[in-house]
Amino acid sequence: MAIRKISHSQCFEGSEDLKVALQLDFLRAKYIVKKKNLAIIKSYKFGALWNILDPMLYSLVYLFVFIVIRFNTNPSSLMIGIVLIRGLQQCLVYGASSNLDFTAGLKIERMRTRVIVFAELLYISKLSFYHSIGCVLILLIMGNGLIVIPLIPILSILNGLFWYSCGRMISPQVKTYPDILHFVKYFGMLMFFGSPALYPLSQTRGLHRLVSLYNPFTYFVEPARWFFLGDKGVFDLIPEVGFIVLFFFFFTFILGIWLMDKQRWKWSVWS
Amino acid sequence: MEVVSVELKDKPSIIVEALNISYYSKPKTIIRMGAPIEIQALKNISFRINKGECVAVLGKNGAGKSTLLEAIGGHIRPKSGTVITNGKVYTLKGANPGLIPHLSAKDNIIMMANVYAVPKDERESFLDSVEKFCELGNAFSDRDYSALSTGMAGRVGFGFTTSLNPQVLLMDETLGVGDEEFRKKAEVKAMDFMKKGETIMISTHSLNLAKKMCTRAIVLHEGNLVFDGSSSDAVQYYLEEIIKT
Repeated sequence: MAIRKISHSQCFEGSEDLKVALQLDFLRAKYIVKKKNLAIIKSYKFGALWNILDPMLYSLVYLFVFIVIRFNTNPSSLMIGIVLIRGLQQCLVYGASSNLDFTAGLKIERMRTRVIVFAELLYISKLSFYHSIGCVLILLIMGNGLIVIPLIPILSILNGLFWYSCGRMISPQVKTYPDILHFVKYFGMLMFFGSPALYPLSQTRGLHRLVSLYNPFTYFVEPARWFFLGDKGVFDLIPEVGFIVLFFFFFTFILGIWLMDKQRWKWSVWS
Repeated sequence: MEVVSVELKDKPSIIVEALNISYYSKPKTIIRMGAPIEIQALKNISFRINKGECVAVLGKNGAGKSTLLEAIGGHIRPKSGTVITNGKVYTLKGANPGLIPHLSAKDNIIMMANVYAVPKDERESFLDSVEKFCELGNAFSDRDYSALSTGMAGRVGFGFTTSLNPQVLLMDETLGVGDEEFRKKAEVKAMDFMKKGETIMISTHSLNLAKKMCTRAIVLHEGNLVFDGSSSDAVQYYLEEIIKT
């Protein structure tokens, strides 16, 4: 029989069988993600297919604009940039606003925080995976090896998790001052142009290059371009900044998850 | 954990001790700076509820009834004090226990049975029992949950939650959503529940319901527990001391 002790500091829940409890919590996390997806695709004829079509068509529009109108000659390079920047924008905003709902509507029973953590990670991973499908197809069409099939989704998921974690760091502030969310969106837009999303670092000049060198996003996109396309921009990166980005990735990721339980508990009595 | 389990073995289902709960909000100034605004919802509440008891929570709007049930359900943080519960605690608030609006009641129940660990070999009988309780006919499988009336949706919510067999069931104005027929069925279900030794807490404005269903009632007034006793005495106290004043 499950015993629960609720106090100011925590909601402690005993469990009889950890393995069974973990399996159940994972099922619940999957349900939460499914419910989120269903809420998005509910009225569409193509249903869940829009999860893939939407980021793919979005990327293709940009691809068209920047290849045909701006005469950028490398669609693979552009596609990698667009997929990752879309992941940045969506995951950052999602992370920043994720304090708004911690239950996804499972109201009968208090869900353990690890259910929410599983669900959040699963949702970001799924979202980032869908984003990457268009890019994988384009890269395959452009003659890249089959290695893109596992690596681009993995890169997209890591990129998504990083920006989601960054968003989570500011989510308490967004809860207090919801207006901040607008600035987060504008920041995402700024990152589109203030990063090597559209042009590889090797093609950037002046202030654009300087900003890009200190932009964490560059440290995701440039290694990918080097690995898949042989672009040399990666050799211009500053190793110290790269290490800071790597450290920051793990730091925000772990801290974001660790704080979730405390934030959830604290915000339960705030309006 | 050891201390808690030894303390609660075969003892009360719910122990509330010196419970204080406050809600907070930022000041309504432009920059929202300064000390938060505190609204004390529950003040130093203590009581115990044993297994198999059905307890009504009475009180005016804003007395703290819903807050108390939310605290016992583990949904909100106490300012101080503790709540200890023994067994699975499910809270039923309003009509929708978290079902997906654009799926049918049947599809929802099938999905949620998985989420709430109904064993695979029992799912069919589980679905049948919910369907039987709801008595929605074809609407159970043909109509979206959002297209059901509040009363019909309430039946689904109640039927589903009670079929999960929680050890502690908290109901926040749930019985108010249905018609007389639903209430009768819900009462029968609740009685079965108690016979099995499960615990129920009902927050309600219906004094008849409190007297009929519950053996015990507590009365809350402005966040304080002002009465704890038999349901008929509690109703009398509520009418004479709270309503009249």
